[in-house]
Amino acid sequence: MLAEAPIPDERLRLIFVCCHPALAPESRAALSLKVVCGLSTARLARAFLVGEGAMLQRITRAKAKIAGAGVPFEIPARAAWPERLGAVLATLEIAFAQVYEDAALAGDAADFATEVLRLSGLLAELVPDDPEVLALAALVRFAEARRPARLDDDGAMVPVSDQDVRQWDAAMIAQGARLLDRAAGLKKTGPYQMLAAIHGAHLSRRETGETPWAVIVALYDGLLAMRPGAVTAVNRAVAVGAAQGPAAGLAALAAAPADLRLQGWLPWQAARAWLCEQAGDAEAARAALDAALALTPPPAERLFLEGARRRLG
Amino acid sequence: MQYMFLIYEPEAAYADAGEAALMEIVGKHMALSATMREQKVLLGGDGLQGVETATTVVTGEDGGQSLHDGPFAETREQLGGYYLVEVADLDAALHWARQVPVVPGGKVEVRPVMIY
Repeated sequence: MLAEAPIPDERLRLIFVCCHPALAPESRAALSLKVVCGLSTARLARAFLVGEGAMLQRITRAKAKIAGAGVPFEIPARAAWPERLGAVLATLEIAFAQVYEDAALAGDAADFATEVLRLSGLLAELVPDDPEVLALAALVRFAEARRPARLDDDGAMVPVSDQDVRQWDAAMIAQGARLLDRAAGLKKTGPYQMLAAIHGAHLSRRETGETPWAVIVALYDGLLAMRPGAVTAVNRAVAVGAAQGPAAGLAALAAAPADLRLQGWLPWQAARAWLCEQAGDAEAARAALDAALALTPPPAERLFLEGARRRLG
Repeated sequence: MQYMFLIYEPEAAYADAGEAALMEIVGKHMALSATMREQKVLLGGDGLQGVETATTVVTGEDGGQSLHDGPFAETREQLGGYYLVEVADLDAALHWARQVPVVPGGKVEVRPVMIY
């Protein structure tokens, strides 16, 4: 590869610009999602699990720094890429999370799905020797490969472990597997490799007919050790519930970071609803479902939650 | 744009370093200054004498002034010198700031200068 090969894409270039290391680490991905992807401050606040006021301040501060300190809005030289890569990956991860939590792609971030596939693939070509870059590209492919199976005939979301594996995109899964194999070959593990491996474990149900929940819990444990976070803790609690029973799952959910914001966070309520239902506590499950529904989920998620609510009477 | 590089270093490091190490850092400063002068980015710069020579003028809430022996804050790292440069943007400034010689633990703060 040429030492000074330019970034052959306007959007990716802008993401690299916004991820300037002179900006506060917590601002870089937020700014680039705001400037490059046009996400609203309210949406960014939800994505980063912070208040809207705090998010607005982050963005304002970053913009003021760019203007006041003379941060150049130029394509960084290749030598400057490595110190920006972490924030660039975070930008793509969060853009991807926005489309992933919307199974029907009904929301205003719908066009991100193909865009994140494209950009993560492009980045993997530009930086082929970074295992985390490869793993993010794999992760996006593993998740998007399941897109056709994520809705039932009524348009309601279908959880990954109930999806019809015949509807999964085998070619895209193979692409992701090749990327993840190359990442593993570089022998330096990281959070995106763990995340991709979790998706890969779900996909293994194609061959085995069973979701390897114990493996998935172990992978979440590894991920939490590398990168503690509320989102991971909640997802892990669901996996624990499936692997070891609802009581263990609820205990794991209770042990998740005691972050009050989680109560107003859809996946937390949805996880609690499912675990309570499995535990036979219909009343608590109903309360969690009502709370989840009050958080205006996207259409497919809403239909899924309403279905669960009807089931509970 | 004009930028000032404010060099903060643990003063004790120089006291402990010995003559040879001190001269090495001074030599690096002279080499950097020469390069920056050649490239026409250097507007000024100097080292400062130690904080034991510092006197601080303190203006109180009521506008009254008093003198204080020593630097304004007793911190581990002290302002020990500065460069003033004129370059296109922050990246160009950081390119030079990274080359400022400091002892381990040293910091170079890069601040755009207000032009009136």
